[in-house]
Amino acid sequence: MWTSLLRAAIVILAIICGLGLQRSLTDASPQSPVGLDGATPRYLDPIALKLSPDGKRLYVVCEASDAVLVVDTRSRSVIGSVQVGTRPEGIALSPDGKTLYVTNEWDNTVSEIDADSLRVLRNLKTGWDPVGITTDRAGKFLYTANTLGDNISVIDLSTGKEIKRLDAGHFPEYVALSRDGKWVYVSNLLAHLAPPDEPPVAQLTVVNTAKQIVTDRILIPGAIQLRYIAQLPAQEGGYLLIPFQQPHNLVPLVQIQQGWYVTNGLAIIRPEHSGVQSPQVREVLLDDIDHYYADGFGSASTPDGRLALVTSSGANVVSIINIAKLNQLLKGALSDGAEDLAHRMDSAQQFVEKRLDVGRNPTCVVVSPDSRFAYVANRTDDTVSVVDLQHLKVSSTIDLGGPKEITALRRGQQLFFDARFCYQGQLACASCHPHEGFEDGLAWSMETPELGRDVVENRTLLDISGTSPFKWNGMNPNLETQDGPRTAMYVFRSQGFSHEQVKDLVSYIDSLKLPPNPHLAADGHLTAAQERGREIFFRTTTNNGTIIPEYDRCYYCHAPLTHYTSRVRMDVGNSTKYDTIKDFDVPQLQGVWMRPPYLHDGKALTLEGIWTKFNPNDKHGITSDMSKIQLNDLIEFLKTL
Amino acid sequence: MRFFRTLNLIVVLICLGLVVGTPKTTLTESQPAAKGPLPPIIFVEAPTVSSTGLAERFPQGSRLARLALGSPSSSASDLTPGFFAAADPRVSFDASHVLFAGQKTRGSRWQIWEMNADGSGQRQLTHCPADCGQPAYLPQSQIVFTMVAGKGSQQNSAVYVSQEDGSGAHAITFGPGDYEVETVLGSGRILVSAKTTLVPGSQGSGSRMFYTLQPDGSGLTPFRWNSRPNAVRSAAVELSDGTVLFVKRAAPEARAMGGQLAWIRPGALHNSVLTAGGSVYASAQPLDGDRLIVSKSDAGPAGTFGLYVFNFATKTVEKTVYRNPKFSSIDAVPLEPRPAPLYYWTILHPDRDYGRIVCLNSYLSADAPRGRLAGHIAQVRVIALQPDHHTERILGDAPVESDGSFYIKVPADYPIRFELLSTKGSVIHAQKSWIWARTGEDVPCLGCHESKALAPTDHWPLALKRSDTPTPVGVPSNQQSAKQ
Repeated sequence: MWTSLLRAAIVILAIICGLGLQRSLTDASPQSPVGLDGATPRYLDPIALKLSPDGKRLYVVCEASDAVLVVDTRSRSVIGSVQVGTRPEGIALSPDGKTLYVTNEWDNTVSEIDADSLRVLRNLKTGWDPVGITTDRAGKFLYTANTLGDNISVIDLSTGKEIKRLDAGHFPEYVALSRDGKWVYVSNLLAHLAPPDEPPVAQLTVVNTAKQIVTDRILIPGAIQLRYIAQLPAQEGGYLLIPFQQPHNLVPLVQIQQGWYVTNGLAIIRPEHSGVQSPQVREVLLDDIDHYYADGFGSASTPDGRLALVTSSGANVVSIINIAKLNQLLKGALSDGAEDLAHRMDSAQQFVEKRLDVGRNPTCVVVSPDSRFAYVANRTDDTVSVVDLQHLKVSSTIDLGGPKEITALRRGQQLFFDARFCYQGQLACASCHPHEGFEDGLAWSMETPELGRDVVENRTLLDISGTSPFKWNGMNPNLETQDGPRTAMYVFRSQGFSHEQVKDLVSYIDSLKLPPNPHLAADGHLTAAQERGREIFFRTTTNNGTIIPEYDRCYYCHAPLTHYTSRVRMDVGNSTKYDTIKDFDVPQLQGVWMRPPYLHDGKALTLEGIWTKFNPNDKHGITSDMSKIQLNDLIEFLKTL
Repeated sequence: MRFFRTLNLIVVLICLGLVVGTPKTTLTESQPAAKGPLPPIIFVEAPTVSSTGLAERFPQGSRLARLALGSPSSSASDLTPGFFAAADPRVSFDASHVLFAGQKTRGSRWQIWEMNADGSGQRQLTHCPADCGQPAYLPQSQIVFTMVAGKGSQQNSAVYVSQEDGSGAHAITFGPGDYEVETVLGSGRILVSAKTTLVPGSQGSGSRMFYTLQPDGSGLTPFRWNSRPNAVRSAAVELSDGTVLFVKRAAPEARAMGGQLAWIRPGALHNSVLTAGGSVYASAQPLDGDRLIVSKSDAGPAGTFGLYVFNFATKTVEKTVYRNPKFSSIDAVPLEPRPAPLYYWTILHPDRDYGRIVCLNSYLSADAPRGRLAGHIAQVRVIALQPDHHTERILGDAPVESDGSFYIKVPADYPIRFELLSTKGSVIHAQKSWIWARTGEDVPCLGCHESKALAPTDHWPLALKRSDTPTPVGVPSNQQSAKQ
């Protein structure tokens, strides 16, 4: 009975889709900032900072209000603002301090702003999802890290045109210009795509600014989520300091109860061009034994290189690092075997001068030119903490003027980024769902009836409302179940969220939306290849005219009107000896283009690989008759979802 | 009872006799002003104090007293006049109630009691078949306490958890560790102390070290790296920043009362001694900021202990709170609300008679040079302690993979230890303490007595890739278990 009804429904859906309803559904994707409408408070979410060359003005990029605020650092008050594009993320300042450049992640643009008048001068096109940004030393070119494009845009400021797009690995986010202006460094949030049983490897891309070419791709083993890049002056070694996360995703999750399941630290990188024959990559942990500083984010150093500051966005802490002590540790480790340093939990005590509590979810940190103050953007309470670097204390907190009413959604957002609900503060929701709800691209050894079994790929939190059940085994009927006691018992190994907090958290997760899809035309029309792919998706016969059984058609399991998932478990022949079940929850396809790897264990690194490598018996739909061109067309269509 | 009434009378007479001039029950106005109002305290007062064991600590009886610290004229009030001895006061999270261990008459069993903060409403919670003491509140209306059975060399203690009314008491430690409750950490884990070398025939040093475990008895883990020999660690408390403060004394002086204050700071692998000199300390509890209320004797372990405010930032005594030259005053706790520890959700399976242990890399051992055992480890031998706590039995062997990992299934709630064997069967490394897996518990181990300061590299343990693991050792095979 159920099967018959399901089949009938699917046929109806297919007809509807054939009539073009799919396009209008796509058009309905929200374009407004995350989860906000006119009736709800619009928070600010400060995410990036930049100081004017004289240190008198602090520019604050607010991703939720699509604005840049100007703070007078003497009065410590907001003195101006300018609206920019959708979801601004990064900021750069021209060398003369007269022009601001702000990346608009969801518009794929950079707002060029006159720093005095706060007037938007131009909007410059970039690649997809620009986040990090810098100018070159002369102020003639812009470099943006395009997160979803996996590349770097080079923009000629004389024409305002993008002149180059450089490959930058997987999910590049943060950009820094070297102190000598000869290099641009780009750090990647996610690891290289690799087989799921391999530990992650992160990348730092090095661009020669004279030739505007990539000259190096420095690998950081065992790490993901590289964030802001700080460079020490030459007299302190010229190292780059980049916060990162070391996941232990291949170790059973039960390890959380004894610590170090996710560790957090700094990549200390001396690039090849800085006087060494090959790049030196060192790693140190910022965590203490039994106490973790989750989700490192911002980094900055004083101009003299005496101190460096690193924010831990999941711990609401900024760690102040004594660089002389760090150098001493590095020298000692070199002479005494360096292999353990990357994993030692007792080394931070040797170089962290102080831990300071700041606001909620600290992100970016900058240091004043006179080394007297540091400023920390606290994303989820709309404040900036001012750190007195002479006395190593928080001297004041700047209220950026966000709404004072704290809604359920806001509380949920604060919970999402807060690692204190996990045993020893090891991880927050955001630790494995970076970039506000994305998946981290890793397969995790979750605790199931058997340890080491069911190592499953992380799944997105974007636009998942209506896609229940959750988890690859479909065992969680709703988000309340997913995030309630089960998370407390099996993930956090601690008290976890209260019932009320779970409701808040779910309201926040429900608000997370996919970014605008660059593969789909603004008016929703499909290209010829996309249209051909759509016909393949909805095809009912093979290339030789044989009728495809209903349950072997794409749309049978990936039902369009229910987010391209039938919301049931299906056996598509992809289980392995490491799985305790054979059938898995059908994943929704919306946004599938931006979240490799694929399949329940992440073994398919590309969409094409799903069919060409992991569907030998046509159990995952009939695909063996398709030509390369047809597969390409099918992929083109899937990218529009 | 009659003794204690007499004792009270003596105390009153002494106090009357010493009203003029000499320090007795003292709130010293001459000391520097306190940084803020101090809360009332409850403490233990006894003519003699011994460290010979939980049941024999107060051979001449003891009482719980309450003292208001804000007023110079306040005096200590007796909260337990109906007891021969009372000890171990522990304040509830909202400061409305106090748990304590009480001995109604000389020679009777110590039991766990609860009373209102003013001493009224006393009720017996436990009916232990042996002596019970060292109680502490747990979240979700539970308590934890120590039960001591046997005497002298046969004495062994274990940690028990029950409902707040004393019902449903059950052991959460197993084996001859002589486990005692120290405190409940803010994380919800219970900090316990235990003997260090436990294997029959080994030379026990008399040392005690700290472990943590969950309130359901799972997750037994050494706390940091405090296993340096010849030290007894006790009277531990946690400060607001996560520092664990305790009393430390050399093992040969294990029977002496008191020791130096030591602490394990957040992130530190080792403990460090906080106090030095001739004074010995019996207890310490956080008051506020940098201040502790400590029990200190300036005349060595044989002297009487008084109560003082101690600033750990300056390492100085700020103020004398209470001192009675004829009695020792110890274990003072501030009577004020405090945050409840986090609640731990148990995921044990009481229906299972086994637990599983996964070791990621048995080559890792802090006992070995550079933290790594030499040689080729081929197998792990699982040895169980018989119920007599003296004889051992080999449960069986299991393979160790080339990456040092093994994955085994062992009987639940049973003291076991491991020996790592070479291909020829010789012992490469032997565990000297007993551990256990609770019913349905999955026990993760990084190595074999590995450093707590080292996180491993990220890799999928080979033992977990095998289709025939977990290897049953002393329990039915996987198939048989599945049928059950």
